This record gives sequence, C-alpha cells and structure tokens, in this order.
Amino acid sequence: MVNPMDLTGKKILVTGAASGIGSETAAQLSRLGATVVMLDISEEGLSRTMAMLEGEGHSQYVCNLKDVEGVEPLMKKIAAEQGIFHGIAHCAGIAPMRPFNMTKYENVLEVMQVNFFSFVEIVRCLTKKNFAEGGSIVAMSSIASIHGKQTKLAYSASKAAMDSAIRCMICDLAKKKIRINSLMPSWVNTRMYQIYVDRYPDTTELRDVREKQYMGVSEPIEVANTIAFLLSDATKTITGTSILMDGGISQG
Amino acid sequence: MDMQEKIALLEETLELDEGTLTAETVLADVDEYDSMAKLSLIVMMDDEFGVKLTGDVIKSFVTVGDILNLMK
Repeated sequence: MVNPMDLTGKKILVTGAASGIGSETAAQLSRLGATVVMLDISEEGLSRTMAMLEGEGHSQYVCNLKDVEGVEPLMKKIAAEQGIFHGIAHCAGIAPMRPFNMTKYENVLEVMQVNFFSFVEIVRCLTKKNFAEGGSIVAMSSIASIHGKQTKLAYSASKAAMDSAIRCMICDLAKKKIRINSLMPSWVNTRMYQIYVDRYPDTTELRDVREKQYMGVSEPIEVANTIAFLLSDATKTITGTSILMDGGISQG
Repeated sequence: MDMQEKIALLEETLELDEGTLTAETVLADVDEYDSMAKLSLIVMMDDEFGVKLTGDVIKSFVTVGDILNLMK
C-alpha cells in the first residue's frame, strides 16, 4: 500500500496550533508521521493539542504574533533548538468583525501585525538557512481574500496581502526548491464559526452559507488534509497558488 | 460615565440623532437596531467596557435601559 501524503521524517512548524484548524492540522500531520513544532499564544491550548498528537519528539512554543519584532529572535531560537524544517503550516490568525465606521487604524494595524507582518517574518526567517530542499509552506488565507465582506475589512485586507506576498515569494523560494501556497476556505466548522452562529444567527452571510455553500461548511479535518497534501511529496510543482475550498459559494 | 453620557455613546454607536433614545425606549421600536447595529453594539461594549456580549444576552435586551445596565 502506498500513501502519497506520508510525512514520515518531516519536521513541520504549525502556527496557531492551540485551537481550530491549527490544532486539527497538527494532530493530522502527526498521524501522517511528521514531527510537529507548534506555536501559539495559548500555552493551555498547546498542551491540549500536544495530548492529541501521535508519535514522539513534538514540541511547543508560546508567542504572541502581534509582537512582530519578536518573531525574528523567536525563529532564531527555534532554528537553534530544532534544526532543519521541511514545512510550515501557518494557521495562526485573528478574524475580528467590525463595522466600517468603527474600524480605526489601530484595529487594522493589529490584524495586519498578527495575520500578515508576522507571516512574512516567519517565512523569511525560517527559509534563510533552516529549510530542507523540497520543503513546502502552506498558509491559511480565506475566501475573504478575494470576496469583500461587510465588517471584515482588516481581515480581508490581511489575507489579500498574504496571497499577494506569496506570489512574490515563489521565485526566491523556488531557488531553494521550496514551494509556497495558501488555502482559501469559506466558513469552517470551528469554535470561531459556532460563536458566529450563536451571535448572529440571522445574517445574510449565514443565509448565503446555508443556501449557496452547496457542499456545506468545511470540517477542520478536510482543511488539515489539504494542508497535508500540499506539504507532502505528492506534489512537487504546485507553488504560488491559492486553493479555493468554499463549497461552491463563490461560484454559484 | 453618567447616564446621559452612556445614552450619547449608544446613540453614536447606533448612528442615531442625539436625543433619540431614553432608558425606556423599546429596542423593537428602533428601526435602526438591526443586525449591523447589534454588531456595532458588541464591538463598542468590548472596546469601552470590556464586556463580551453573547447571542443570548443580546436577545434578552428589551429596552435601552437593559443595555445601559451592562455599560459599566
């Protein structure tokens, strides 16, 4: 039997690993044989995820990606302690909702710091010397990157910035045989989604999800599997793209 | 923040003219109190008072006074 998504012997950094998509991804990557290095702001959440992992040798680091200037020293520390990486699953991010008239510079700045500036820093620092040839990077973007949503100005802009930056990185990373891609899901059935459903059950957005997300809301495990596929040796040439996984909502 | 200032903040949040609201105003009678206004309310309560409103709490609001009681 062959498993094209086998990750045995690969060391993968998973950011945002304490909850939601990041937690599911860390667990699934470990089941596929990877050694996982987790990053998150929540130590408690990281320990919960750690208990879900299969295999040995996993580790965790606590950090706040709002502190963009702290990313470089942290990556240096991680590189010194962990050695060579084969992949990054960048799942850390925040998705606050704000009406446009209450979206101040400081609110946009915070989202850009966490979702975009720190992403660039992580990729820049870790791919300098500590990435294996044939390595792969997958970042969580969103359908919001290409579809405007009322109340999501900062979030959408941060994801569009990420996808744009990825397209600019491919050439430099290709010289080191490193691929980089992103995923653009619509709503995924995480705690973040459940909170949204609880708070705003009657919004047009949720009505659209029910009526036009024809294949339903994605489960975190499907996102984790798609990340694993892109990190694995199943593909060697997919780079600089953003895979839409939105149940059809943006096309119908 | 006194009662008048809280009402003024609420009017600003909901983009209503000054003097539109009193503590007795029934929210169901305010046309502008729609889902976007409720989001504005959630954001303002978190920003200004550190209060995180849940869906159940928002549903329980009947009058402006019910909101004012949590503005502390």
